[in-house]
This record gives sequence, structure tokens and C-alpha cells, in this order.
Amino acid sequence: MRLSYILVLLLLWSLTSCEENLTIDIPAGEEQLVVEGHIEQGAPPVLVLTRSRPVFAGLSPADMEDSFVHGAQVVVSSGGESYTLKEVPAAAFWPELRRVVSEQYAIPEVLLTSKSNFIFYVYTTEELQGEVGKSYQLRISHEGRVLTSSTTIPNLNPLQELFLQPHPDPSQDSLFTLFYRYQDPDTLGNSVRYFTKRNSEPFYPGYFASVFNDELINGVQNLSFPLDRGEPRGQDVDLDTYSYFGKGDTIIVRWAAVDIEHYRFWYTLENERNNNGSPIGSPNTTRSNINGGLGVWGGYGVTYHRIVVK
Amino acid sequence: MQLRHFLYLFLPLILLPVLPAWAQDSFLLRGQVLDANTAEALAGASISLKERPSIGTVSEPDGRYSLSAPPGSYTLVIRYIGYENQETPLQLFSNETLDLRLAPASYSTREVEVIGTRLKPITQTATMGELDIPMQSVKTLPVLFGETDIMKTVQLMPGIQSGGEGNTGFYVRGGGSDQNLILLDQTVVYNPGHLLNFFSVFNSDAISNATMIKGNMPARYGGRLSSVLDVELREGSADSLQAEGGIGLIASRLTVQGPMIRDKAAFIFSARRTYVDVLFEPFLKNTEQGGVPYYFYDFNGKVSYTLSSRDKLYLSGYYGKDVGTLTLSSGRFEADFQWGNAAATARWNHRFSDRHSVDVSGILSNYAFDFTWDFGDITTSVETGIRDYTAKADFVYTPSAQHHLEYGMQYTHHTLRPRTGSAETAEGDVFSTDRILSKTAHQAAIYMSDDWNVTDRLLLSLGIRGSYFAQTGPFTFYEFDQNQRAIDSVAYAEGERVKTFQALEPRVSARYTLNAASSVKASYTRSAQYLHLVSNAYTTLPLDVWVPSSAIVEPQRATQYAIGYFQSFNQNMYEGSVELYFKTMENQLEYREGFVAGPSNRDLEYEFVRGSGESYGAEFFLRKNYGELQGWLGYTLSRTDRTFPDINQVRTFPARFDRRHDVSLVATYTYNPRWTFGGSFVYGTGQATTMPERRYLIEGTVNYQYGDRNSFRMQPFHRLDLSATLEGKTQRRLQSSWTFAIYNVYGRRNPFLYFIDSDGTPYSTDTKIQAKKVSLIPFPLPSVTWNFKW
Repeated sequence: MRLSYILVLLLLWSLTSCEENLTIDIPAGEEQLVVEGHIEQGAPPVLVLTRSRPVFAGLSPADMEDSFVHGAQVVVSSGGESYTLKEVPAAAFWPELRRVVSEQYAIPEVLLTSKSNFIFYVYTTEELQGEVGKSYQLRISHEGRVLTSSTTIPNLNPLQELFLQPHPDPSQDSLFTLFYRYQDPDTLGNSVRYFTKRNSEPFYPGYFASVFNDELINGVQNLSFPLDRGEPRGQDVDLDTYSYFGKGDTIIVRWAAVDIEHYRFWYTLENERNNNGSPIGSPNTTRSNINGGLGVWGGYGVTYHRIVVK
Repeated sequence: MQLRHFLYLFLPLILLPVLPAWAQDSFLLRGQVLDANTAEALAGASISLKERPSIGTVSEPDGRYSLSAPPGSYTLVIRYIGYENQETPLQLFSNETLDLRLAPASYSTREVEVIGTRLKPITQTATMGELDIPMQSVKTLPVLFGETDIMKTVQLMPGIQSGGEGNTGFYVRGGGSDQNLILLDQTVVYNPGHLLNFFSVFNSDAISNATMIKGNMPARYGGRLSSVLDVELREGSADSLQAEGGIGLIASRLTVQGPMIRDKAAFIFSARRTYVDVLFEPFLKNTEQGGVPYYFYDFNGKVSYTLSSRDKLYLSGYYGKDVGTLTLSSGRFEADFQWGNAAATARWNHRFSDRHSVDVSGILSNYAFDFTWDFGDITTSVETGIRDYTAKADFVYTPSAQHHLEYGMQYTHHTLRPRTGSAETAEGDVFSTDRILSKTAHQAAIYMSDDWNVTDRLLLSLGIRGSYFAQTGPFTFYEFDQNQRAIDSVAYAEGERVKTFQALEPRVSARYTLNAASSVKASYTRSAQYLHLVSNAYTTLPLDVWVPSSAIVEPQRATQYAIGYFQSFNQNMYEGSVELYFKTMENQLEYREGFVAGPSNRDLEYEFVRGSGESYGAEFFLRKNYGELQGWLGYTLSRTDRTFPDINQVRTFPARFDRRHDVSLVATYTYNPRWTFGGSFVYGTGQATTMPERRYLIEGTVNYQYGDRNSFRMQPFHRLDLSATLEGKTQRRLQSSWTFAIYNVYGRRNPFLYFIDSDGTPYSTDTKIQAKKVSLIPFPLPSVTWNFKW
């Protein structure tokens, strides 16, 4: 919540505070399996299965390799049919899989080729393609553990149009704010996750908040709202250029309808990230929709929208 | 059970004083202790009989005293620090009334008065866990930025834990920060903090005395589970115009008092404002922020009017506000915020006789928080607040030397505005939390208590409070499905009763005097709380929301048992105590796991989960009351747990303010009439917190898997503060003094917050993971304040 942010800023800046590195011993905790899986219309299900590692364990290529879970039995069922997903390393991705993984996981496509040394495995199947309005059950078993979940690909809920507004400061006339116009269906519970793509970059989800829900705007006609440019997470943003697009940019918005559990995962995860290190947020808010594990199994009902900044 | 049924329960107590008094083997002496010059009432003066040292008392906050003794001729000894000791002959062969006027000691001014002697000897008070807080000790102790603060002195008492570095919030015997009843001239103060609680709303210059009760609350107090902090504003001087004030690093204050109508009416008015915004403005002009656009101010005022020898009228008020603006990203983001309390009390004191009096009060209390910001053509505002109207009558009746009764009734009408928000786009579309409405409630209580001197040695304090609470409409109760969609609702019309609660709250304590210097006390207290504030942050915030008990939330209840041994040494030069307590709390509230404080059209109460709490501990207290060196040492060993069916997989977890060891050492030293030194040292076990144990990647960036709730301990907290006060020479009528202080003398970097930080490109092996500690005031912070009195 932005409000909390402001108060933190106020607090920290009205009194001099200091932040320093700390060496602490933390119990190793219990290993959990982590699911990051999606299915969208017209594309195969894709699922990444990893294990949680001690918080200070390394991040070397060997550690990355270690965190992937191989040999799990991953089954997706829908409408009475079951499909077993097989494991595919990044080097063996075919073009369609490369596109889907790049869009869903914000990975540049060049990394997903046999030439790169990128360590990445997915479970997928060519037998199943997602369909709008259907629900998909997930069951994973591995070394005695069983993880289950369920998701849907909601009905498409496209935005009406995109438009641009110049930066309020005339000296910054190369920067533009992207706006979207949206009409909300009159049933409550519509939720959306969005990604933006600038020129040849991958699709990145909104940096602070990539999901919306219609709880306060149910059934609204012609709502127009700014849409922040997506950026790679994990790093601090430059607040001077944050959210803006530049002159000449070709912008594609990936606008994905999600169900409420899927929405809740991103909403709680983004809040936890945004509030990490803040005296106001409480930690540990991420709500997974995986029984017996962590992460998310989420369907996307995707539409694409394009605008060029002239 | 209906309200009137309570009355039956009270009958035995009401009848008690009517029973024939015991044979009159002693007579009663009563009166008032006053300043001989200003006629100001003096609280805490000690009155004793020279010939019978075991008979003595201490004057009440309004200066009144009473003591009983066998018939005889005595010498009455009156002692009050800062005033000349006085001895008066006394012939006690009937009940007598005698007002005592004390002359200020000529060498002394307020600033050299030191801790302790205003206090009742703790072996002689009936209640347990009650501490008078002498304003003098508040003023001589070192504090942050030199701003003296009663709430920071409170935190130095055993059994009371501070809310964190520089914070005025406190936790008493394992209770949450919303479980403290904070009263300013009988008005409930809902948010006692300025500047995110670094300062309290209490301006020390305007306060005459404060009482902290952490255990056995007398029956006249109610509505909170854990403690009472009862702060009373000073009365204006009855015979001369006086001014006093101070100029400090970040704030200045001024108090003016004097007579309005000679011998009839007096006033006192205090004002305080911070000026960080003004001071720093020149240095920040060219930075993005362009200043520190934040300040707070407050006003206190009180008028006392003597209507007759039996009637006195008091009008007092408080108004305070925190105001700020914030501009970020070259004006793309602009915010204005303000919050504050307003309070007004009208009190009529009538004395039916020397033995029977009543206070009738009408009270208004208001708290409002308002935050508006503009971002990307959208204006958003968030508001919350609470407004109370209270009427009450409190009677005091002393039928005989054996009985002291208090009884009365209280009624409050609450309007609680939950956190509501609305946003307006440039095109005029408005979105708001329109389903969230203000809640209204009625709260009423009747109470009665008797301090009964059963024998010379045994004092029983019997009290009972019956409390009643009703939530009324307009209100709609929703039932939600898993997707948080409302599937059913029940609507209540305006004024319609939605839900009622009542509780009986017995308060019993006993004191047994072993000998002139020692006593044993025990108490049992049951209490109920109908308004709740749940905070999931490390500190309470101005936007935290008070919610009433309702169809969604049950009242909180607590039961406390305590036993203690009290001893004074060397004619009360030293006194010490050991108290043990055990407390259970029901219907404690926390946010559900995974709750995110965001805009929502659901009442916040739906996000609460309910559990129980338990706290037990031992409190050790040793105080030196007289001499050049005075002070106290407090140590608390305690444990506080919470158990919630929906949190931490039902496993019991430590409360965030669970603190195994808590030490406070406080001292003042009067070197000579001009120099006084003060110091305080605090140590506390590290705060309980929840830390990540493992991590995983989602979309290539780090996410955390957390350990058990509050299972990790931060580093211990400790800090030394020192101060020195230099009295200026009195010039004409102007007395002045300088106070120099250093906060955090050895620069301890006390942890405020731990977190794990990660930084790096997604999906890369260059991501760094590092534990970090945030400290708020990690260096010695000096301050200087100039105080004056004229």
C-alpha cells in the first residue's frame, strides 16, 4: 500500500536511521517444493519445480542446478482427461515453448537456446493446450510428497484501449505515461495481471503491482488509469524514469485475466516484496495456492494490446 | 442479562456503608494541603503524627488528605519536597478539618526537586502495581531531543515495556498497546503519539500529576485490559500571573497561568510547537524535498472556578495536530496528511459534606486522521477517526475511618470511522470503499468499590464494575465466500441494536501490614475491553484503526492474579517490592495470516483472527527516596505467549513484545543547589521477530519461506542517557535553567528491524543475499533546552 510507504519515508527521514549488514545464524528450516506453473489459452502448460534452499545458501550455477527438482511425476487434468508433463531443459526448447516461457517467466528468449548456459528446466506437454473457461487440476508427486492445486483460465477481459500522456514537466518531453481504458464486467471478482514489453525487451510484469482486482470498481465503465512500465525485479528502480516510456517506443501490453486465488498469490507476494525491510509491513504474507508446497499454479486468459509512442 | 440486573449485584455493596459503623475509637482529620503563595493544591505531601510515626498519609491529587487517630494531643508533621517542613500542634478529640499551607523552600525551585518523595510509600497503598509518576522525575531525566515526556518515564517502571527506540508506546504485563487506558483529565486519548510516537501528546509543563496502574485497576476505571495511565492537567495559580516555558532543539513551549477572578477563578494555558520545518528549511531549499514540511503542535487549557465552598467547576481542553506534506518525483507525487486529538471536559465537583462528594463530567473526545495524495492525475484520500461523547458521575464517600467508598456510573456514545478511502480520477470518476460505514456503539458502566480497614493491619479493597456495550446500526453484516464475494447479508437500521455484550468485572485486593515497614498485598482483577486496535506493524501508527466489539468481533477479557511483598527501610529512605503476576487474556486479536493492508470494501474486522494470551512474571523494584542521590532500579522477568487456531499452525508463539529480561536503572544526583545530574540505563532481551529460514525464486527473484512466528530474537536492547541541569540565578522574578542531555551516550546501535535483502538481476548468479539491521538513533544525540519561569 502506497500510504505505508510514505509513512516509512517520513519516519526514516525525519529521524536519522542507519542500516548495516548483519551476520546472523538462522535455522535451516524444512525444505519445501516450489511450483511456478501456468497455463494459458492456445499454449501448453508449463511448470517449473524447484526446492526451497537455506536463506544464505549460495547462488552459484551449481546451486541453481541443485535447486531444480528432477524426476517428479507432474499430472495436469481437465475435463476428465489427464496429461503427464515431461521435463525439458532450456537447451531443448522448441520455438513455441521458448516464446511461452519467455512471456510467462520474463526471461529474454536468447537465454532459452542451446547456445546459452542458462540453467532452467520446465515440465510441459505437447498433448494439452489451454482453453478459455476451463479449469485445470495439478498433482505432483515426488519422493513421497504430494502437491495439489487447481486453476482456471478465466474468460478474456480485454482492455478497451491504450493512450499516452506527456510528462508533466515540459523539459522531460521525451517521456510519456501509458494509460489504459477499461470496462469491468458487472460480476464481482474480475482480476487481471499485466506485463509490458518495450521494443525487443521481454514482457515484464508491473514492478510494484502487476495485478488488479475489481473489488472497488466492479462494473465500472470507461475507467482510465496509468499503467506503469514493467521492469526486471530484483533491483531498485530509478524513480526519475520509473513507469515512463520514451519517444519511439513500441509498447505491447500483455493483459491476462486471472482467477482470484491466482490474483491473491501475486498480490500478497508483491506486498511482501515491497514491504521487505519496512517497519510497517508484516513479513510472511505470500499466500500460495499449492496444497503441500509453495508457489503458484495459475491460468492466464491473455489479450495483447499495442501502441507506438510517436 | 440486562443492565438493570447488574444493579442487584451491586446491592450488597451499596448496603455496606449503611451498616452500623464500628465503635468510634478514633477520630478523623481531613483537609487540604496548599501552596501558601499560590493556593495551588499539593499532591503527594506526606502528613504524619510525630508522636505516632505509624499513623500517616499522603495528600491526594487535589491536595486533600485524611487520616484517623485515637483521641489525643499530637504534633502534625507535613513534608513536601521543595517546601519548608512544617510542624503544627493538633488536638484531636472530635473529627476535625484542617487546611495546611506550605511555604516554598527559599533556595529551591522546581528544577531541583527530585524523584521520589511525592510518592506514597508503597507499603501503604492499597492497590497493587500502582505508581504515581512525579512530574519532577519526568523533568530531570534525560530524553530524546530534550523533550521531557511522561510516557517515556512510565516505560522505566518495572512490568512496563517500551514500544521501541524513542517510542512513547508501551506494553504492560503482556498486554497489547491498545490495552492501556490513557486519560487526560478523564478524557480517553486514543492516539497518544506525535510524530509516529516519538513524542507523546502530553506537554509536561501542563501536567500536575500522573498515575500509572498496571495491575489491579480500581473499579472506576474500565474499558481496557492492561493498565491505566491517568494524567491530570494543572490548575492555574489562584493569585498571581505566571509564565513558564522552554526553548529546545526541535520544539518550544509556553505556559501562562493566573487568576481570572480573584479567589474564584484561575486559568492555565499551554502551547507547544515543533519547528524542524522552519529550522531546516534554508538548508534544504535546493534539494528535491525542499524542506521538512512536517510539524506538530498542541494546546492545553484549564479553567477552574470556585462556585461556592462546596462547588467547583473545571473546564479543560486539549487540541493537537500533526501536519505534513510530502512531495516526491518532481511533483508527480504530492501528499498532505494530518492527524490529531481533540478533547474537552467539563467537570463539576460538589461536596455534599466533608465525607461525601461527587464529580459530574461531560466529555468529548475526538481523533481524526486524514491523508490525501495526488499521483498520476488521481487524487486519493484515506480517513479514519473516532468520536466519543461521555457523561459520568463519580462519587466518593468516606462514612467512617474504616470505609472509603467510590461509586458511580458512566456512559459513552462512540462513533468509529473505520479506514475509508476514495479515489477520484481526472475525468471525475470516483471509487470508494462505499460499503464501509462508520460504526456506532453505546458503552455504559456502573461501579462501586470500598477500601475497608478491616483491622489495623488488614485493608481490603473490594470493587465491582458492571459494563455494558451495544453495537447499533446502521450496519450490514456480510457473509463471504472463499473468493471474498458477499453471499449473504443482514442489514440493521439506524439505531437498531445489532449486538450487545455485558461483563462483570470484579476487582479485589488486600493488604496485610506485617509491621511498620513491610506489607504483603494480593489482588485479583477481571476486566473487559470493547474497543480494539490491531496493528501488524512494528509500531502503532496514526492510521491504525480502532474498531468496536460487534457482530464480527467479541470483547477482549482478561484475568490477572498478583501477589507482592513491600518493604521500606531506614524510615522510607529506601523502599522495595517484589510482585508476581499471572494473567490470561481471551479474545485477543491479530490479523489473519497473509493479510495485506490494502484498499478494500470489506470491514477490517473480517480480517481478524481470534486467540488467547498468557503472561506471567516477577517484578523487582528498589527505590531510594531521599538524599542527594535518588533513583530506582527495576527488573522484570516475564514471559508472554499467544495461541491462535489460525496462526502459526496452532502452535503457541511469543508475543512480539515478549521480553524475558527488562532492566531500568534511573538516578538523579543533586550536586549542589545549582547542578543536578540525571541518568537512565535500560536493558531488554531482544525483540521477537519472524525471519525467513529458506528462499526460493519466483520469476527469477528471491522469495522467502519463513520460520515460526516470532521465533527469532534480535540483539538485546540497551542504552544509557545522561543529563545535567544548571539552575540560573534568580533575577527579579525570572528563574531559568539549562538542561543538557545526551541520548544514547555510547552510541549503541539498537536493532529496530531485521530483514533479508536481495539484490541482483533476475535469473542471474550475481544476486546477493544479505541480512540487514536497521537502527533508528545509532549515535549519541545531544540536546540542550532552556527553561524559564516568571
